Amino acid sequence: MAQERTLQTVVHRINARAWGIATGLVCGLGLLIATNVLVIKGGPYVGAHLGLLATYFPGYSVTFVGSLIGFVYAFVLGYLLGRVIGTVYDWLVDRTR
Amino acid sequence: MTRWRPISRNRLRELDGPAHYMPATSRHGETPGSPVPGPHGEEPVADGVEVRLAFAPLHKGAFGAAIGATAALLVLALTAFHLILEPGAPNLELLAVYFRGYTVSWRGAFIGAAWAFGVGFVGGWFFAFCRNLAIAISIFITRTKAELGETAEFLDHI
Repeated sequence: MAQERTLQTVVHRINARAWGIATGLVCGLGLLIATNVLVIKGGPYVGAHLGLLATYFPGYSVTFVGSLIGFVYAFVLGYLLGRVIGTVYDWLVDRTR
Repeated sequence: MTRWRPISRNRLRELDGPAHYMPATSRHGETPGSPVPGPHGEEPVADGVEVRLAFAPLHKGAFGAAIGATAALLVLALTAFHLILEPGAPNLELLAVYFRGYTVSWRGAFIGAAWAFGVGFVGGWFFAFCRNLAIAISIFITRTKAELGETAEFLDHI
């Protein structure tokens, strides 16, 4: 019974850090790929809209180097969001149990 | 405190395979229904209750609320960023297309946060629902396969 309770505590919660890393990687890689797809496609106005992210991510631009800088920013932002999701979820699950 | 070791998908498959079929006559003195050791004589990894808990569904309401709260926080933070540090955000105003009543102002920030919470809650709830459904289907398939595997030799005994 005690073991069951322990397992329940472990399983019904989600790992906030793992969620942070997962969402961070999704955001970071998403931005990296999106930027580099636009860079490879080329054209007269490369990433006119995606470039607006520079308002929030200083140093970011629609270039290869900018995609790396954007990856770091997006990873950090995604990590924080994932961490918040994990923490709020765990808190609510603990309260409802 | 009891430590639970993680189990890989391959290992689960290994444990789930025909090696675990146990006829009425016991191999190592187990009784039918008792936990079966692994193929290499390891401790049993999980019994019925533990397996059920290991596939525990996500709490849909809590997950929806968590996603909603995060989305609300994001909209609030983005709006506050423009109000405090970088006034004038013509592109952020476009959120009003989806979030009626949203403007880049403190009042609009809270309206946007409320909208974002609602949208995030619905999205999170639906995500948890789909995830739980996928898990339930995969458990059903695994269980059906195991049951079919157990009776595969049935005709040989006739």
